[in-house]
Amino acid sequence: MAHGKTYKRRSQLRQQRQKKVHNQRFFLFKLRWLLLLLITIPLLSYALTMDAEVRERFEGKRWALPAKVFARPLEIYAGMEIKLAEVQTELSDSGYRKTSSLDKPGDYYTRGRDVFVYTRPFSFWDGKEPARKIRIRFKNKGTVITHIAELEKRKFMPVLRLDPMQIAKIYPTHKEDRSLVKIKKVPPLLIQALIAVEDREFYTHNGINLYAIGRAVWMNIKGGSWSQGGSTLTQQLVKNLILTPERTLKRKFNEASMALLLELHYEKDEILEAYLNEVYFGQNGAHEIHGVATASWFYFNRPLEQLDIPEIALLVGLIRGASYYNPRKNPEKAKKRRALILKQMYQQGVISEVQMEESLGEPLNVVAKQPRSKTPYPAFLDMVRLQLKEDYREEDLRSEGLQVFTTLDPMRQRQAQTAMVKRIHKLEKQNRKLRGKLNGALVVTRPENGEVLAVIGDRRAGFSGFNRALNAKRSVGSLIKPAIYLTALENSRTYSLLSSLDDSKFEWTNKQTGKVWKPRNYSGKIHGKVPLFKALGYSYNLATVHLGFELGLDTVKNTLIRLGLDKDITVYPATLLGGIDLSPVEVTQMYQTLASGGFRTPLRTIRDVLAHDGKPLNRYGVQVEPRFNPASVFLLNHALQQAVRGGTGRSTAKALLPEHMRLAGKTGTTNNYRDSWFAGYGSDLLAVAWVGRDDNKSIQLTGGGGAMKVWADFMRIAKASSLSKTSPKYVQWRRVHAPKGSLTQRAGTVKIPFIVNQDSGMLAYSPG
Amino acid sequence: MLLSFLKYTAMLKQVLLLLGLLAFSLPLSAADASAAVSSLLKSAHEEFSKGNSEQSAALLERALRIAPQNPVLWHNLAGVRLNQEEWAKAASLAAKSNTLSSDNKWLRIRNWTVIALACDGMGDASCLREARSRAQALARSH
Repeated sequence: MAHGKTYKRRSQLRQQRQKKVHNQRFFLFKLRWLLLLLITIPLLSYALTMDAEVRERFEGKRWALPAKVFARPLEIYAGMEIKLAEVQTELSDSGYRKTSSLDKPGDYYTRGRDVFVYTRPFSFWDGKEPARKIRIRFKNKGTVITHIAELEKRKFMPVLRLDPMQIAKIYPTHKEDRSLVKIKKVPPLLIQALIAVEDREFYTHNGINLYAIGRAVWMNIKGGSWSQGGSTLTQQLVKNLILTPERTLKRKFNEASMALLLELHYEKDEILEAYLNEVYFGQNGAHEIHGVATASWFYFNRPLEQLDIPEIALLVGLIRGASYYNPRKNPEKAKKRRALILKQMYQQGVISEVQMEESLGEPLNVVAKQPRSKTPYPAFLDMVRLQLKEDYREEDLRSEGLQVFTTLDPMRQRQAQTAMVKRIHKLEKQNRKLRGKLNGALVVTRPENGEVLAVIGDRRAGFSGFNRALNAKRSVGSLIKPAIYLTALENSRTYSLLSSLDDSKFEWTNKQTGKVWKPRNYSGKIHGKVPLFKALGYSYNLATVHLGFELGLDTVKNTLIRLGLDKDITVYPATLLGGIDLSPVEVTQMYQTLASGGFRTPLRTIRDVLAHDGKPLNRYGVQVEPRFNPASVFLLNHALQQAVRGGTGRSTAKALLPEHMRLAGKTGTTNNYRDSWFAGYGSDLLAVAWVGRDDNKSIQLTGGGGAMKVWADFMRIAKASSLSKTSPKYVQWRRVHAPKGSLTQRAGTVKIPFIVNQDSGMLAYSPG
Repeated sequence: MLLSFLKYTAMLKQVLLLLGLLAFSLPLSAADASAAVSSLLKSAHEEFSKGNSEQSAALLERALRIAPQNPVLWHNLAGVRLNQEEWAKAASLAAKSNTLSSDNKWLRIRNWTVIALACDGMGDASCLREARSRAQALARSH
């Protein structure tokens, strides 16, 4: 039994073993296929994913490009009033180089009363300006341009527009600074040099260069570390564009396979173009400089097309170590590196021996001052961003490489800064308690077209923080009064500049709260019957309140809105005396309508926007809209001229404004001297100034004693043009007996403008 | 009624075309800057005749920065907007030109013509009537 049992078990075991062997064979057979599958599928999927990644990265939007923001271009013409020194400052600020001869675009020099410039070419919205050799001749001690001559064409130019100064960039969130260049625009020499130095077999290899890798491996074994390259340009591009910068063998493998794939799909020139736009060239503050086009401006302040052999050699040399060979910090190392590149260029037949020798002797030619990475005009830029927001998305601004042409006038901005900084200093000297406490804002525009020329939002020039011009909403005080008087003057049958107003006690009881409002004049005095223009000129509160009630609060509110007040307000009796909080920019918008003769003219900080390739996108043209009868505004402006010379502005105007300047304006002082305002204009400039404290405490200054001084300093430095004497239609000047207490100092008669009836030609209002 | 309306509009356009040739030969007031202004005006005219309205507007605005009170420039800008069928803008710009040309009767007539055409474009009959009668009254006056 036991034996039989044993046998049975043996045969069972054998059977089992046989089955096992069979199973094993089957299993091995299956395993082979499985392994093959297991290897092929991942390999295939690896290749496919990588292929997809390469193609997506290469064909999609490769880079986010920062938007470039430009100041207005300086346009000069024969007969223009501008100082020679101002033209020089403008040139050097926009990166022109002072030289002794005009060799390259971007060169300039001065000789006597001539400025010689080799202008840089530039594409504007309405056309291209080529590079030109120019002579600008001045007269009257260098204050007026006599003529502008184009030297090579031997002819005079009626008007010359220079390329605009770049004032800011709106960077992508990853802070790469880059502008794109097409391969056709890259100097062939640069490409030849790059290939001679970085990848001699570029045009023949298929993405990787096995010989170069072998050489690199051998060098690395000898050196004992895995550091030296052997990478082709294609591999370098893959490394920078697609992969992360870790140094592992796996990454090397990925890099090589992707390079092969890249070469499989794309032409050599496409790869080269991408490389030239990707490559890293150094650091500007927080921003990385990428691509040859940006690097050319960053180091030489010139477009790529204009670089010479030594400059090209330096750029190519920087690719291996932009910070190590930084020509600004380590000029010696940079020079050695450049020499090495020049030698290689010669050895590869890219340049001749003479060219090499000559280039070796050249200085580095790098612009000493690194371009600014922060804008010097932060307050203005705030306004630009507000306007851009209306038409562009934030992400497009940061990535589409838009070219934004603004209205900023660097000359006016400089003058405004001088006026603000110096005056604040003087005001604080006069009152020690204010030391370090005063602050201010100043907005400057063109009356006729609404272009914002300069904005100051802080006492410190170029400070980027709280922007008072835009964001400090303060009580405007008497700045509101012109709106009330204009409402009256529009009603020309009832009111003229000589209308008698009632400057007497006033009381108003709020029926809901029972509170009584009792306004007073600043002086505390009561003047009885006063002519309208005097009440405005001296800023009498009581006369104004009586007038406002006569006209009706709603009518006054309507005038404020027509002037350009862009929000819904509830008008209280106290609003008649400026109990309304506005920013300097909002005030400017309202005065703009007065300064342009009754036409609402929206403020603009942008003229036009181009795509990164120069394609026109948006233009913001001048817009005007008739809101008030020009004759009424003319009368008001006459009264506001009296306010400057004979009213509340009298002493400041006498001290600070040249006598020939005929400007209109209004002071504003708020309760307890918390805010000092002035808004005023001539025919070419409108400026609104505010001076006050951030904690809203008293500054012990009236509008005339504080802000008007800033304003007057600016208008004087900027040589503001007087208001036109030409009266619009339906205005007649009449000589009348100087009314009692008239603003004129002389006895006898004064000339005053009146509105005449359109049909009869008679005075609409009879002063008798 | 409608027919006479259309006829009148066509006539106004003819008048404008006729005067259009005149506009660019008008003497400009700003003495010193005149060469700069007239060269920009000339370029604006060229762009306009090539059909590049907005380019023309940009050039006129450059000229206006040099001579902001020049009524001829404002008038031409109004003409560009009229051509672009930006009726409201055209009328406003012509009104602006009018306030600066109190001593230039013919320019005022042209401006009222632009306003009349703009009113017509907007389909505003009463505004058209008013502008038309203004232009006619001016033409009759001495």
